[in-house]
Amino acid sequence: MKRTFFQTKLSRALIAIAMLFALAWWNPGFIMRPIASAAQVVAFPFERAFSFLLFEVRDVLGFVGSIGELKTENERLIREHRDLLSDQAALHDIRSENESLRKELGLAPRTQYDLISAEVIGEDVLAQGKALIINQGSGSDISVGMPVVVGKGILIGRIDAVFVGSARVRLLSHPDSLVAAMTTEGEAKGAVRGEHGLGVLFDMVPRTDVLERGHSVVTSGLGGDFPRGLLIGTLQDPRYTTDKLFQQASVVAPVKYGDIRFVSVIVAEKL
Amino acid sequence: MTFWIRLGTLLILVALHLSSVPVLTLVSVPPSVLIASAIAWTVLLGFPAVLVPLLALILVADSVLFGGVEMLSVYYIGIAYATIFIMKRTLVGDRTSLSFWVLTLFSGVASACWPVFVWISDLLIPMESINMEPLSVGSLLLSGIIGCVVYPIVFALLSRSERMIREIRQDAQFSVK
Repeated sequence: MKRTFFQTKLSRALIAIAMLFALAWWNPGFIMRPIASAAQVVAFPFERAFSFLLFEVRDVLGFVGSIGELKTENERLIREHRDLLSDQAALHDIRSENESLRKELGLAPRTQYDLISAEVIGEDVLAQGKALIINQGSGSDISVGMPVVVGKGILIGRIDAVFVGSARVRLLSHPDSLVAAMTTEGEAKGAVRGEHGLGVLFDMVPRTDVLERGHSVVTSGLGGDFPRGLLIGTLQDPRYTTDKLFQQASVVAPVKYGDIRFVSVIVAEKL
Repeated sequence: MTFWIRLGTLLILVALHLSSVPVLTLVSVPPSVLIASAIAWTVLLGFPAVLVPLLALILVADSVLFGGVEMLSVYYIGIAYATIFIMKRTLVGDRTSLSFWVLTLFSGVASACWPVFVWISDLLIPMESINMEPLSVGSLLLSGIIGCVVYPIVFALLSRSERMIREIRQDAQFSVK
C-alpha cells in the first residue's frame, strides 16, 4: 500500500520543526518557567557533581599545560606584587585621608555589601560569555536583578532567573545587558552593553568627555540597578560611533567569563 | 516506571549539556551532548519514536538556559532525520561495532557542522543571541573531536536506560498473575 506524504518520516520531521519554530516565536513564559524550575531542582545534584568533577579535571590539565610557563609567570607575579605593595601603601594613606574628610563633610562611610558566595555549575554551551548557572537560588534569598561579582567587586552580570537551588546569571557580554557606567580617571559617562556574547562595549559617551585607552570603567550607580563603583574593566580602542554623535570603546574585563568558577551575589548594601 | 526512567535520563542529559563540555573547554563549543543524544536515541528508538523524547529534551534544555526555545534547536531534529536516512540506506543500521564507529564519526561531523549551520542561519535570520565567532579549521576540528568523544558516553547512557525500559516492559508482559 502506498503511503501518503503525511505518513512519511519527512512529514513528521517537518511537523516537529514547525512545532519548535512556533514555540520559539510564541515563547510562552508561563509554560517554560515551571519546566525550567522543575528541571533545575531535579538536575541540580547531577550538575553539581559533573561541574565539580570537570572543574577539577580542567584545573589539573591547566596546571600540566602551564608548567613550562611557570617560571616567567612567577617572575611577573613577583614584580606585580612589589608594585601592588607600594600602591597599597599609598592607597592606605589616601583611605585614611578620605575617611577623615568624609567625616568632616558629614558624609556616610562608603558602602559595603552583603555577599553570598556561589559556585558555577553550568555554562551556556551555545555562546560562552552569555549566561552561567550558579548553585545558590531562592533558598538563599537570591532574587532577579541582583548584581553578581567576582572577588571584592568585579561586576560580571546580574541574576536573570532564580530556581530553588540555583540561579541563572546574565553576563555583561549578553546582547541584552545594559549597565550605566563611568570611567574613574576621566569621569566619562555612558552605558556598558554586551556585544553578541563576545565582549563588552562602553557606549553612548558624549564627545566632550575624555575617553582614553587604559582607563578603568566602573558602575555609575545611575538608575539604581547596580551599586556605584563596581569594576567592569579597562578601556581599549576608543573611537567615535558611526554617526559621530558619541564615543565608544571596547572594554577588557579583568576576568575571562568562561573561566569563572566562584562568584558572589550582592544581596544588600551594608549601611 | 518507564516514564520516570526516561525523564531521569533526560535530566541527566540536560545536566551533562550544561555542566560538562562548556565547563571543560574555555572556548565556545557546539552542543555536542544534544547532538549525540539525537543520534543515539534515533539509533535506539527509530525515527518517529525519537521525536517525543527529543522534543522534550530540547524544551527542558532550552528553557533552563534561555527561558524559551531557540530557533537553532531545529538542528537536532535535522540530525535525527539524517541519522535514520543514513541508517536505512547503508549497513549502519545493523548495529555492528563498525556501525558504532561510523555513527561516532557522524556525531563528530554533525558537531563540526554546527558552526556552519549557525553561520548560515545568521545569514537567513540575523540573530543576536548566538556567538558569531569566525569559522576556522581549528574550531571545526575541535568541535568534531568533542562530538566524537561525547557520542560513546551518551550512547552508553541511553542504551542502558532503554534496556532497563525494555526489561520492565517485558516483565510486565510476561508476569504470571
